[in-house]
Amino acid sequence: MNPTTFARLYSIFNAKRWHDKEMHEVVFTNFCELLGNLNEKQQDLLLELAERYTWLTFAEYQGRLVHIFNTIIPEEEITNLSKIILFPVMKPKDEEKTKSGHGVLIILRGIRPFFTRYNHLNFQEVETFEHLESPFDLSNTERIFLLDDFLGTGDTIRTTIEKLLINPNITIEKIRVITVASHQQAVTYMDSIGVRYYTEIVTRKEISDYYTSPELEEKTAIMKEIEKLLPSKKYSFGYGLSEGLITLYRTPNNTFPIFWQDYEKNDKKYKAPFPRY
Amino acid sequence: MENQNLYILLDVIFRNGSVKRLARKGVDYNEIAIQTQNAIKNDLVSYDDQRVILTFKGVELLKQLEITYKKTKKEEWIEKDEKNRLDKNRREKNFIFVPRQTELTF
Repeated sequence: MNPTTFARLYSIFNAKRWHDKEMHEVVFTNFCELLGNLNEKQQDLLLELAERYTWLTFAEYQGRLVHIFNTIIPEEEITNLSKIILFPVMKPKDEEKTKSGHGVLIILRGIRPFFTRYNHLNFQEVETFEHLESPFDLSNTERIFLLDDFLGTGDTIRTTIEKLLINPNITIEKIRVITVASHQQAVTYMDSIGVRYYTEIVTRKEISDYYTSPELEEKTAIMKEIEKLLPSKKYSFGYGLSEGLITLYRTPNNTFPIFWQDYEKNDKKYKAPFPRY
Repeated sequence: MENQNLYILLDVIFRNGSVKRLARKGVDYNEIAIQTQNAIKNDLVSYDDQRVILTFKGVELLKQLEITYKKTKKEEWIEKDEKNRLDKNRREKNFIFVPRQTELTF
């Protein structure tokens, strides 16, 4: 990696204030190692993607959630409510596990006493599907808020909603989805079923939806070349071909895997900039 | 930063070489970034978003440091590739070594 490429990377870290984040030194070192293992065209693409990359730490969730609850959710949504049930987004088979939605639930437990707009209503935390099965009923002034930090392809939110709707007393009008960030694929799904959602960030396919031909074909080919460093093609272009560029407290597998999956060059193993493991 | 490492940093910038040269000497990338910033502050290096280059002052300092740190003897700048050296018992007469292609690294 030549000094100009190195300086470009450093400038990106500066502009995005990534140097203020915990663990930025490890991320910067891993990024440098990665760029050092690529040719110039590949470096250029990764730097372009880095410029559009979102990195949110767990500590930043709080501010984002406060913004969603106090500003993004419209007044008329909450004025006439008496109760909000908070439920983590998860598949029924994952009920026993701690998922990212549980993390959001815990953060909200700490900050919701400060939500002045919600003083007139009760919050109730629920963590099992069984609790929401028939004969459970929701009155007209009660809502279920489904919580997560990130929705990727939309698979998990679809499973969660489908499971809840088995109970005829729960209708789509009484469900809201609250996330720190959502990928366009999940947003498209939520639009298609007409569920209301509130999110701070909407991510998209950062090669397919960003470039047009002939740049699109060129960048796609370069990324395929870069991905040859990876041990498998399982997550090529991100899970479900999401082409994501986001790291939350953990990087979702929807993000391009070169940013989170360990790789190998000349028999030497390297850590990705935002390792998942 | 030690003067020797500053010499390498300036030399890398002058030749548009690889910053890995410093990393291989054990200088952390974060430290390289800090020292590059210092070099910019001290008017040794300029960065205009297009290219990182040495200023006149930087070139002058590089020439000065070169006198002390430039390695002219080949023993000093060519490192022995010890990790690929054959062990003693494989160096007997008539021993033919054919390396595996996948084990070759340069």
